[in-house]
Amino acid sequence: MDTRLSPDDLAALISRCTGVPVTSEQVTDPGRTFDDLGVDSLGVMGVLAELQRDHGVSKDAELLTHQSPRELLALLPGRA
Amino acid sequence: MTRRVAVTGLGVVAPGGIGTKAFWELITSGRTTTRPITLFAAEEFRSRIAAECDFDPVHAGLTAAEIARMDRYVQFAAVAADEAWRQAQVPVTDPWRLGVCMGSAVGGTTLLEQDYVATSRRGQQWVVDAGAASPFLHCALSPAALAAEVADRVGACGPVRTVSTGCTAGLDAVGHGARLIEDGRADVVVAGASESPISPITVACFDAIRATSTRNDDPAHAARPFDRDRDGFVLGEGAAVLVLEELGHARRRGAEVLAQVEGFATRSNAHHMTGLTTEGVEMAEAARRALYHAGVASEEIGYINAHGSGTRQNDRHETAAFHRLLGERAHQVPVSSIKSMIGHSLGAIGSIELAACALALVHGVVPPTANLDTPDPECDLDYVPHTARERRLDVVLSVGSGFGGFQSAVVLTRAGRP
Amino acid sequence: MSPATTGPAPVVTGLGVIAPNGLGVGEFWAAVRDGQLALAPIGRFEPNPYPVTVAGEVTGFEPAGWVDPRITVQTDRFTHFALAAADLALRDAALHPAEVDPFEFGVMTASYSGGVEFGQREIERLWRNGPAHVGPYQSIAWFYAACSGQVSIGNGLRGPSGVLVADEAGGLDVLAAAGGELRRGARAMLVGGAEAPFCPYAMCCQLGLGLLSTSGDPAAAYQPFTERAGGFAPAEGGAILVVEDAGAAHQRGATVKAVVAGHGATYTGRRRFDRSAQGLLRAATGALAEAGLTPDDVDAVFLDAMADPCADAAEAEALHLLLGERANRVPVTAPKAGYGRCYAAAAVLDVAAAVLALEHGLVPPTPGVRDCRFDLDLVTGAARPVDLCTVLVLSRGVYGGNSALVLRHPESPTIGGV
Repeated sequence: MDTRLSPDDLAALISRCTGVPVTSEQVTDPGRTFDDLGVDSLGVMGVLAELQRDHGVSKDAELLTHQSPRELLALLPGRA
Repeated sequence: MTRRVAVTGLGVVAPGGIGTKAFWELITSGRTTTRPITLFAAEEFRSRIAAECDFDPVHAGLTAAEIARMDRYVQFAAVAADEAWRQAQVPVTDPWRLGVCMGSAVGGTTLLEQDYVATSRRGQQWVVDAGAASPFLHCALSPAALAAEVADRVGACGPVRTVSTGCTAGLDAVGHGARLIEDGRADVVVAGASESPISPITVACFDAIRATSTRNDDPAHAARPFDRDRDGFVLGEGAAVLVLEELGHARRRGAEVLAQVEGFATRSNAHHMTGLTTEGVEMAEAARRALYHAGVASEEIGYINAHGSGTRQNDRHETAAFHRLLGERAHQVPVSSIKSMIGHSLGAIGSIELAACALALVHGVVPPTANLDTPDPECDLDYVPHTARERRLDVVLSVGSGFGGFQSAVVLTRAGRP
Repeated sequence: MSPATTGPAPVVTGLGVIAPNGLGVGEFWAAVRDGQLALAPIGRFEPNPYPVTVAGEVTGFEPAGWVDPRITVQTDRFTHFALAAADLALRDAALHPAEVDPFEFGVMTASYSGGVEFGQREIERLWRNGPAHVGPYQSIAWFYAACSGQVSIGNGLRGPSGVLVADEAGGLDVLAAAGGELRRGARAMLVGGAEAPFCPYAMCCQLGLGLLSTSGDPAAAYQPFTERAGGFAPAEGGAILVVEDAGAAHQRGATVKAVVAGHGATYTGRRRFDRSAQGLLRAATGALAEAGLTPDDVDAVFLDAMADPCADAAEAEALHLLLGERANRVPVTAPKAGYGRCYAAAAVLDVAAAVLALEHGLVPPTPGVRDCRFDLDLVTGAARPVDLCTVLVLSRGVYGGNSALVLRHPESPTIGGV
């Protein structure tokens, strides 16, 4: 399981899962929510599921569309 | 002259018992049938509970050849159709005027998955081995086979089709079937729906979107529509079939009319494939159109059979729709969800709920919503908690909501209503 | 008089086609008119160990440019076709959805195989890797209602929606169902179907039908009505029509392409093509009666063309029974021999071809067919100029459905209507 994930990696993962082109700047911007990016609830669930499967995010983690990708980065193990 | 539609036969296969009698006893008792999944080993899944039918096809009267040929959901439909057809006792004078309209959301998924496992060596090869497929696999690709099986049982040669609008298919199939009669395309239509979705792929796909309940340690109380502590729907399975007949046709032959199907409409929210708005505008609009079509005022509604799936957003969406539809009268109309007792059987449930509505009209009893211990403050209607209620009913509304944003409504009226 | 025969008939005002022989009506009509062959070796998956190697694939179609990337990831190829075809149809009709009351603009599609390639990918992940690997889009991509839902959402259509799964014949039945909505108040409907059945597992399912051609030669694979008829070549693609209430179309000054004058549907049993002669005859006479016409009015017939010897013979017999001594003088054709049989979208593509034939006064040929073995005037070689007022479209399903649709030239007086 790969638990390292850079902002670039996360941006690529979100783009691939949701079809929404996302940059590394956008995923590190605390003010930018999934809603702002145009990612819907299903997209967020897909992103979270992949992080839980492959990147060590806790199975109990929850994520909603009014949260930001940056909050996702914080969920990754080994990160504050 | 307007052609009206009577219900002259009912057949049900549902969790808790096979046959209309067992079904009615169950849903008026307030007992629940939700339990740990036994149809496959579900340990690895997020939601591991369902409302399953204890269904023995041999005991239910199917032949060995039929059992071999028919997927589980087709077996349910065959048994339900046989019961409805026996009750209706329609003499088929002209098979070209006899139609079939069956609904299903996921159709032959169970067989598709079973054969997929065999032909792909448990997912190991993309180019599957066709030699390992069952000879009936082709019937599983398209639920067109469902209507065809029912048509062969009753000898129909009129319009025969399957409706597959997802979770509103059970309402839509009966609504569409009624229109075939109204529009003069048939005099009798065997209409209903069937589903057997309790298979790994279907459970996994609802897991993935967290739509189903994870109350795995307390399955009997997992389906809790309108309750504060609800956490999703519980998958179910089953079938119901209604024999629809042009009212004059039924009267001329002295048939017992159980109810009339008077109105049907669908609208879509054009919003999201799975998400619902909080306002319930489109569901209210579908209901309003169905009432208009039925020539019934909303003041006459004596009972609403809700979609009541028990997901957080559905129950609020629907409550908003009923407020919108009924205005100040909203608190006076009993609303209930039988999914609390028999789960959500996707495309089948709409027809099963219409069977419940017809029986409610016949018996003058409103089935309850089980497990409604602590109402959600945002769901403030009379949901008939726990216990069935006697009430003379003249007009009943049944609504459904499904993926794709589809909202459907069917209006049934008491037999003999002018 | 029943509602089926009252009110002005609905009209076709827009066509959107994504077919193996062309994207858009311009390319499609040129290919159909010229009898081009668009069958080729299957390229969507390899290796191809199956006995069916020739099909009609939509080459040169990429979702980019047609479908929002957010929607592309959550949908199967069949929905990409439907979305693209819907877009083309609206443009062809010069109709912006915002011009119509959203509650009166709906969508109705026919489906046979659903989002099966997407489904195979997800079911593979389930069985290879486990339930947590099934993505959130499986629940909305695989089911048969995906196209109606996405087209409704993509275009803001909140009107009546539906999905019929009645094999190939469902492609005509949806037009009648949409007509029923227009008669009940809807102003416009997007109507059609789409299929993308070329992944290994879908092919594995289709093999069991026993009706697909196993010829490896694209020029010989689909030869209906000949001594060499040995099954059909399957196809993928989609077609969506804009069908409007006649008054609504007139009011907005739309160009009417054709009138949907009548429909009939019957059922004659699974794998009983011998009985489909009567079934097609009944469907066709019903459709003509609804249109207020007789068989003498039929100027051309677009054939089902199963390319099964028994099915072809039954269709020829139906034409003789219907047309009597005119049977060998009325031009009949099967353009699909050039691009394959696209299941639920097949009949919709036929309707599109028939509408274009009415518009151009040309009956297109049956590509690749020279020697019809029946006493019929099968158009082969070049398109034939004919003064067309009334065209009959026939369709059959592999599960026993027979449907017929009557289209009229907009300048021909029409009394009936679906």
